[in-house]
Amino acid sequence: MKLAIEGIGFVGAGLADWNTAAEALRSGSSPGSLSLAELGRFLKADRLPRTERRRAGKSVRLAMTACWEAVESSGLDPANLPMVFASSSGDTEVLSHTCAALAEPERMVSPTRFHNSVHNAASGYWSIAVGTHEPATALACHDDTAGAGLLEAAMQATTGGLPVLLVIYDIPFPEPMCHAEAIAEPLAVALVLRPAGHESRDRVNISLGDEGGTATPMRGSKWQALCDGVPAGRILPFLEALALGESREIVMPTDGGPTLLVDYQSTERGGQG
Amino acid sequence: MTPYPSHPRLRICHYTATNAAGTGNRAFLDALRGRRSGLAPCNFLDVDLDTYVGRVDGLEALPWPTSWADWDCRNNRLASLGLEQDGFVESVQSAVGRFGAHRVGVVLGTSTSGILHTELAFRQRDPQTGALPAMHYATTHELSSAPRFVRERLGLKGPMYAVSTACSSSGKVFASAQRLIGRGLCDAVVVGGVDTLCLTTLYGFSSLELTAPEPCRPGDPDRGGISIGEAVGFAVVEADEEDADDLCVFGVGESVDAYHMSTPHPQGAGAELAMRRALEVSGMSAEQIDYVNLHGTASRVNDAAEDLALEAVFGPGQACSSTKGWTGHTLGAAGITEMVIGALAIEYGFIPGTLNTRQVDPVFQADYRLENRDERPARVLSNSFGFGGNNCSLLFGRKEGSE
Repeated sequence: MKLAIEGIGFVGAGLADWNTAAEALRSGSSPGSLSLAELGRFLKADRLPRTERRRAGKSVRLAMTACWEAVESSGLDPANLPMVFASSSGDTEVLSHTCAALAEPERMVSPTRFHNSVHNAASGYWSIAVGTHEPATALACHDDTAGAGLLEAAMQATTGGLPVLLVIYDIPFPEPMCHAEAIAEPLAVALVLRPAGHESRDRVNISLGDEGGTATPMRGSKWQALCDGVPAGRILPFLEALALGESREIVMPTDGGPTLLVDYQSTERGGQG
Repeated sequence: MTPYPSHPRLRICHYTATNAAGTGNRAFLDALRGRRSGLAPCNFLDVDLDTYVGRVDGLEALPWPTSWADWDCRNNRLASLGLEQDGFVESVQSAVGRFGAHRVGVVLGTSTSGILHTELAFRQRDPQTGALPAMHYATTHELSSAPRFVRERLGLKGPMYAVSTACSSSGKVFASAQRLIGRGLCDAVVVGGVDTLCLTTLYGFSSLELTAPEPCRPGDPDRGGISIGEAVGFAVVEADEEDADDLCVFGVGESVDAYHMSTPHPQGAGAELAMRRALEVSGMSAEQIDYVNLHGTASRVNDAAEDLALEAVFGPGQACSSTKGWTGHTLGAAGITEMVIGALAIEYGFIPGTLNTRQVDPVFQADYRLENRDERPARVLSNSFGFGGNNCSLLFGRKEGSE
């Protein structure tokens, strides 16, 4: 499946956008860290209607912030983009608070918290913000969520012959759930993928290989920790190649299944990675 | 390898459903034809809500090998029970024999997966530290727990993931399967969905004042809301062979409302778009649809909006019914459950009516069937709509006379 990258969005690890993240990846400087409590100031929700803005949870605003950046850099109208929202556990805060509240005698789950608990909450808010009626697919595959999202988005773009918005995002579980499922950092990466034409600059060919490939490593240990510590981080070796403009095949193995092969051909520098 | 056409018709090689109305296709068919509802007053755990539920009996007592201990949760128990019905495992083994385990994928829908496991863990927090007891999040609560469990049980090696778009989840899995097969990444895909009773959905829908104090009555002018059910269903789909008159999925229509997180567009605009897209990708016209299995939850707003959407697509008088009175609203499993109902209707020559409903809302324009009829539909459209305004219409049936 041959694709072109039309736009990139990034938020997380103390890096506010893709330009900042790409510069850090190029210069070899380490990513930072951002607690769930500090996350709010990095996030945009200003294009949501006021009522929805008040209701949207942090994972929703995280995903949307990355989506806005990717869509703006693509120059495409988001109302025309089908959406693939990939997250290993969705809004972990809402899930934890709901489960905690249901263990209390009152069992209070507010209507807003309930509708925010669905895995497609972020795509629902996004579709309201941009006024799109295109299909939205929310999916999950635990630590292999990034690869599953990339696969589904690539299939949608090449099947429909049209650009697709993909966002891969996670936020950490709060106490006490963080001990049952550790997610290290809030992180969201959005990509606008278009079926590749001959004129496309950065091209990617996505295919499936045999089970048991070795994951492409990151250059720095802090980046590797982010890649390993957040399911959404599994997409980072691909972003590193994009930032460096280096052609290379990124190997994304899945647990018990095929290996996703992301063959990136940069025309910027042309060199082999 | 030669890629298939991008939107291949999918042959439905095998299917099975288990829910409160019946375990396996035979029992479910008997309940549908005998008009026996699976709904009963809620007796789930210590839930203190005045509502009816569609509960699958005996899950707690299902034999569970110690080697599966990490997977032990209500959702995987129901998935396991569903897998054992109707020779489903054997039919998957046949696909593996023909294509190889790495060419058979698994895509399942769910809304809450094994969240009950976490809800119950929160009841056992350490009173001093607040710590949770030992639990297995990844193999229970996590959304891809069931497809991972199913893949392990079936020995499959193809792509696997969970689609979780609330109540449209297990309709949309057919679109993913179509893409996996259309792009040449799989030769067969195990699709379906599983959702089980849990406190989140029972108390959540109750907080929205959407749960009825009686068995749900879809399409009734006095409908008082939904009954929540649990269900599992699976199908094996492959690329269709042109010359065979098999049961197949013609197309899947997907859309979003962009209107409200928990209320459908009042004129059913998103639902209308999903139905139109299903017809368009199938290359069919509205006249070719013999029966519409409605989303038909018995919520006031859903049923009214869906009727308007039907009128916009089909004009007045389209034959339809809601089967939620048998199963309850099985949320992320509703799409596969109602695909199986449509498949049984085609195979056994009947169109199910609507259970519990005393009369049809007089403002409705569709031919909203209350009684079962001995008619054999050839082509069925099945609707599944969810929170976040997420809509899916599945168009399936027999090819004979459709071209």
